Amino acid sequence: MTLFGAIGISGSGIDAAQTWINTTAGNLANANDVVPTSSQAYATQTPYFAPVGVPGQVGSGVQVAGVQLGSTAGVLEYQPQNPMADNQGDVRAPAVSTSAQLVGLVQAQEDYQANVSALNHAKQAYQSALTLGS
Amino acid sequence: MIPPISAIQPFGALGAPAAGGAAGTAAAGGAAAGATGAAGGGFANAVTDALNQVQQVQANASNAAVQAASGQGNIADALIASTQASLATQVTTAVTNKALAAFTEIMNMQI
Repeated sequence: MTLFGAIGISGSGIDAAQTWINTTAGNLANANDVVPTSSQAYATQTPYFAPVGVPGQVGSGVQVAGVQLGSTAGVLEYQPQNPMADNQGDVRAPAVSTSAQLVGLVQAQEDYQANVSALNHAKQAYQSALTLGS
Repeated sequence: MIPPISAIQPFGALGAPAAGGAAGTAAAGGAAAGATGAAGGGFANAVTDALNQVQQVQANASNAAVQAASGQGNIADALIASTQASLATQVTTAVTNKALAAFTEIMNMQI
C-alpha cells in the first residue's frame, strides 16, 4: 500500500531479519549433529539480502535473495564410543561455529528491532499528520 | 414576494463547489437546479471509495491475524496489517469529520 510506504518497507526488513533469526536458530540447533563419515554433514545456512527494485533508484524494501548453504564436508571428530563411528572411530560433525552464529543472532535481533523502531516512528509521523489543523 | 427556498441539494453535490451551491440557494430559486446536475463524482463517492479501501485493508488485517493465530503466518505481518488498517481508518474518519464540520458550518450560516 503506497499510502503508508514506510510501513511496508519496514515490514520487508522485519521479514528479512526474521529469516536471519530462523536460519541462525537452525544452525545452532544442528551444531551438535553427528553423522557417519560416509554421509554428508549439516550445511550451515546463511541468508543474503538484496534491495527490492531497480538499483540506483528509490527502492521499496529488502528481500531475502537466497540462502547460501555451507560445505557438507564438516569436520571429522574422534568418537569411538559413538555407534555411528567408522573403523577409525571417526564421525562427521557440521562445521558450525557456535560463537559466529551467536554474534549473527545478536546482529539479526538488532536488525529486527531497528526495523520495528523505524515502523513505529513512521506510524507516529503519519498519526501526527492527522492532527494537522485541529 | 420572497421566492420559496429551493430544496437542499443531495450530498453528492458537496464535493463540487459548496460555496456556489449556497449562493444559488440565496439567489433566485431556479439557479440551484443547475448545480444539482453535477452530482456523481462528489464527496459521497470519495467517502464511499475511501470506506471500501478501509474495508479491504481491514479484511487483509483479519486474514493475517487468522493466519498468525493458526500458526501459518507471521506475527509481524499480522501486526503490520493491523497497523495499516488502523491508520487507514484514522485517515478516513479524520477526512470525513473535517468535511462534515465544513458542511455543518455552511448549514448553520445565517441567510
